[in-house]
Amino acid sequence: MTYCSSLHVTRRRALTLGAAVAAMTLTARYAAAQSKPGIVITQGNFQPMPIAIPELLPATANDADTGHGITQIVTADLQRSGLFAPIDPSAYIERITNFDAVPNFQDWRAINAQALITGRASRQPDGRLKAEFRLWDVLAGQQIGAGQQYLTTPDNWRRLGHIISDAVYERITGNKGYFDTRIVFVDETGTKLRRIKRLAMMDQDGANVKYLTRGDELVLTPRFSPSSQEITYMAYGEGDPRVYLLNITSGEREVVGNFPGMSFSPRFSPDGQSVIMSLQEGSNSNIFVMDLRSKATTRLTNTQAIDTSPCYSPDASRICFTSDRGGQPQIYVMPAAGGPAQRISFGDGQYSTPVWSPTGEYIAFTKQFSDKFAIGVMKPDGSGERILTEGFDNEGPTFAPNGQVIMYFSDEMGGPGPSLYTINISGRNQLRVPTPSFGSDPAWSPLLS
Amino acid sequence: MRSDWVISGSVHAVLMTLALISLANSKPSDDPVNQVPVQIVTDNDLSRAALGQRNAPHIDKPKPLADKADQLKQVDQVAPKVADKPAITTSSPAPMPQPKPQPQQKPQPKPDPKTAQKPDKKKDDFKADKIADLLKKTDPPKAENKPKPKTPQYDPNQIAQLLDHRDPQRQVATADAPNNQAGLGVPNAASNAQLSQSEIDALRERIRDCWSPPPGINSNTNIYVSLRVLFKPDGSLAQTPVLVAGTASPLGPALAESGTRALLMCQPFKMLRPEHYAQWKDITVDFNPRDLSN
Repeated sequence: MTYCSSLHVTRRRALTLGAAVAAMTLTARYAAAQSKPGIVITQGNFQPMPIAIPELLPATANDADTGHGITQIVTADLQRSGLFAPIDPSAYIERITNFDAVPNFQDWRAINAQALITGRASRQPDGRLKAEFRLWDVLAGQQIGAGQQYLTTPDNWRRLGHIISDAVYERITGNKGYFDTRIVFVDETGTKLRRIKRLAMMDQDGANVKYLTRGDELVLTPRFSPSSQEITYMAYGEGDPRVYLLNITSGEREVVGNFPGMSFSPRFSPDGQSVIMSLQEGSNSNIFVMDLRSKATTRLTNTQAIDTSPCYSPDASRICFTSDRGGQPQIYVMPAAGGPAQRISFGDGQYSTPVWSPTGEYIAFTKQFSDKFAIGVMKPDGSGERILTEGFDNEGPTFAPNGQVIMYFSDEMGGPGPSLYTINISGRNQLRVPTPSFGSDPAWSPLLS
Repeated sequence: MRSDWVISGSVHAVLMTLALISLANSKPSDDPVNQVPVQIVTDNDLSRAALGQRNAPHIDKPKPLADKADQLKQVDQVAPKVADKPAITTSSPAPMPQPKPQPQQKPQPKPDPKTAQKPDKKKDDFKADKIADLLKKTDPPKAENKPKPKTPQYDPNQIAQLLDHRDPQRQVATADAPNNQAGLGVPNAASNAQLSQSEIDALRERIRDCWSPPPGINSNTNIYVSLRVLFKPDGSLAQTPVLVAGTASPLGPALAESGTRALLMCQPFKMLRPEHYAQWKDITVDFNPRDLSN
């Protein structure tokens, strides 16, 4: 490295100048890096987590079927969530033979598993079924949380699977699960002209369907109470529609009242003590709250417009509803005790059936625009509107109890009848929910356990 | 017509003469435009230059830095810790058979035995004393007095070095004389070079691709976790990343675990250059979902 003298001076000056300027830039840019080297990751690349779910080990040969069944439930639940990618068991290298032994993580890493569930199913002396499981972080080579065990009656084995799925889901995602839940919906059979609508209930995965009404009435818009033991629904028998309160464990049915002109069932308040509804007054309709014990109603709105489909925020401090007071149906939010209402939807088209997410983060809605029906979410202040799915007819969104999934019903143009679908609030993972026949008006229960 | 030409010509001639005289008498500008010599400095030049000493005297042929006076010894790899290096000792009987090319060391075919005995006043008092003892016992022959190979023993002067778990900033070099004078932009200065922005960007990009954020966490979620990540020189993780800070939230563990998975899954991070190891061997990676879409 030799220079002639003048070049050297020039070079040194230039270097000094250049270094000074560049050093300022570098100092600013690397200030954090030099004192505390670090980087910040603010974006990611969502991928379903590869998970291995070997069959639960049966304590005796008699438990093999139960262990297999629970494993199938857990695998199906996690797969349907869209957040996990269960690995084909034929790829497994290690065969789990001892529930109490630490797995050979190298074998599970080799098949790209990131998580591993091991479990055991056994019968107690009193005849009850016991299921245990452990969740392992394959990459870190350690158990995640403590092992869990659950006891139940043998005929309840499906719920055991859902409960294990919920525990795994919560441990990995940080959110409560939603697998140990039920759906109440309107089961539709018969031709389009002679449609029989029955109220039905099933597990969230479509199993264990039970019919709650006989089909001699037209039933609409069932809603779960926060206790998940009661539902309200509307039934057109003869004359005005009636609102019923049905206890799903005892089967007792109670008439809440006759409500002429009502088009949606009341919704429960978060404490389950009252219901909120819209009642017709001449050509207008306004929002009222009814105390379920005293049956006393309180008026919340008094407008020359159609205010309908009210819904509580999860903290019961506010309500959202649809009103055409601005010319066409839009979503409004107001204090639950009454007061000025604030319009939150401003997009093109008509908004209806708002429902607040159980986490309070979003309001889901149906939006009708240019001959399409879309299901979307927006924040309670009206910002961040996102359309999750759109089609010929999408209606009636209802949130899973963790607020991460929305169920709705959709009818294809010219199709024979409606079906139930779920979609994650990210807009991913749209899935059809299996029902015995056509299904509409779903309502998602709170977690059962 | 002709007179017109004459008048026009004479007037022009007078004007041009006046103009020439006045311009010739005008003083040259006292304010010439300064010429600033400009030289393009590349990133590479800068990182080398910044690592020398700005006030170093100009040396046409800079000598390589040398910590010790000894026979030339090659240090075979950059990676090992200082404490692990046997190269510090001067008792090595022979140079390595195949010295790897080292830019800062001028290979000498034959070490001079005399120079090898020069005591290193700065660092190696122990060995200097040993040599002095040997010199006392024997006549002062010109012959080489090689310190005998000795087994490792307790040496208080090496405590600091033994405790030093940092990896070497540069190789310990030996030469015919100790030289602590850093040159201006000598080649070995590059060993201190900055972690470049492109490496940081590439690392960030890679982790971002690998990070599958927990669902339910989005830009509305006011949450972050900070993981301390220790790397090996090959870019793989030296241990599972450790949570060092984060927002108190039920979603925190899931966020931290998702970040840990991303780092474990995507190692080794080959975009980190070994010569910058000192800069990236211990970094913190924050996972903050502020730009996640939903």
